[in-house]
Amino acid sequence: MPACSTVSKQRYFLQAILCAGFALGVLLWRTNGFSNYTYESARRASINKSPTALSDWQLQNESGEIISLSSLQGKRLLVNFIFTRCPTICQAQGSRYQQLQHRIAEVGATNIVLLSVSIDPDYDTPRRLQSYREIHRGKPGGWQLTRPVSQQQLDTIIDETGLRIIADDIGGYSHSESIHLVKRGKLVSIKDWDSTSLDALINNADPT
Amino acid sequence: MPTPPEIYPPLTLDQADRTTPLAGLALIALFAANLIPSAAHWFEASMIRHMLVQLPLLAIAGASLLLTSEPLQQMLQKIDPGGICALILGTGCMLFWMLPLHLDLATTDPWFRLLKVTTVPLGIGLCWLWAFQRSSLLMKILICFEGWASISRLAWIYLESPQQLCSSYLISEQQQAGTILLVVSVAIAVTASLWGLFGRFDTARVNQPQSRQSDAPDQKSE
Repeated sequence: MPACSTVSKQRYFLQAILCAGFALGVLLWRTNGFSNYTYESARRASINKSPTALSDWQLQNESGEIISLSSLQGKRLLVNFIFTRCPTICQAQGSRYQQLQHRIAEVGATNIVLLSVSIDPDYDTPRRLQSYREIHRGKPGGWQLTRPVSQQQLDTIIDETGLRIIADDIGGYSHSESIHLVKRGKLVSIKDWDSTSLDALINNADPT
Repeated sequence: MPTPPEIYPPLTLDQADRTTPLAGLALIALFAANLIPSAAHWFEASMIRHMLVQLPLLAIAGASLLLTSEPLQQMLQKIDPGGICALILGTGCMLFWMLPLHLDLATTDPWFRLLKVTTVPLGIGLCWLWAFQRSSLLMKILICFEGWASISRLAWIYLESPQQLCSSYLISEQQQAGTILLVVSVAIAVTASLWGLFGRFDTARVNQPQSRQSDAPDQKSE
């Protein structure tokens, strides 16, 4: 770069330093100290930093009963989002939930409830939710398989959790694979579905 | 305070003057298209259209704004004569919009969409062009090389990442975008290599100034 006059050189140098500070500051702020580069990682960091209060979700379980979040008050909920005709990750998550359910029963941690919420409520009827449980050899207690009672309820859930759902090329959906920990009506953290911290959470839970 | 001596010659605006109305209209149309939700959604519905069409178009709009506005050039000449601030801000802005997080937010958050429509033309197009014009030859080569390296890095990340980087786009689209970036990167590398080995291709253009100079005495004599 060509040089400037002596007087303006100092001012120009200061100006350049200010620009660099501004650019660096914005990038540091937006990436949470160069640690979050994707929407999903930023969503997790935001929830971990400030838990989000959830509304009283209205869900229909596989028996056709309407349950709400408030009816599960006092329990720790491990919430995942699935659709039963998903050929990949939702099936892996089904097996994972079956393993966690087995572990919960072993430890006797009845204050932990597994909650699967369908993101395809029109297709996932109570009957199909029941089949999903049967495929994954899940037992009835401690694992609720549900669908939102309406599209509006699903939109509310998406809005409150910051979940992203997009249609894929094969008539299904691409969505977050993570597990959401809900405590006292608040979304307090988001974990990877295969995280060992979920097992630790169950192992360390107080048996009631 | 005495005004600093003018070190740099003013930019040539001969061609820009002729294209000002057209470029201005194109610029307004582009801004409007990006602020109208249905038009913006058309671009943002596909990762390739969003990243490889809309963002470069916005940057070109900013660069054309600089080329067609003499007052803007004069203002920049006063506040950033060496183009260093423009280079820093342009780099920061480019890094900001290279993050999948921001690309995602620009598809859903109206404020982020507005931020994109204003900062990409001004922060990337305008700043980079200004910095490039004020740079020495060595710096120009470095900027070009870094631009090419960034395209290659993005191509590699998009093709190799096993994860979906943008929540708004499928992994298949991410890989398609990576393939296009790889093709662009290879094309640039091949063109630059051929240019380096055999020289410029547009020999007619190179010879143009000579023919003009040779014409000049004839006109005078007439």
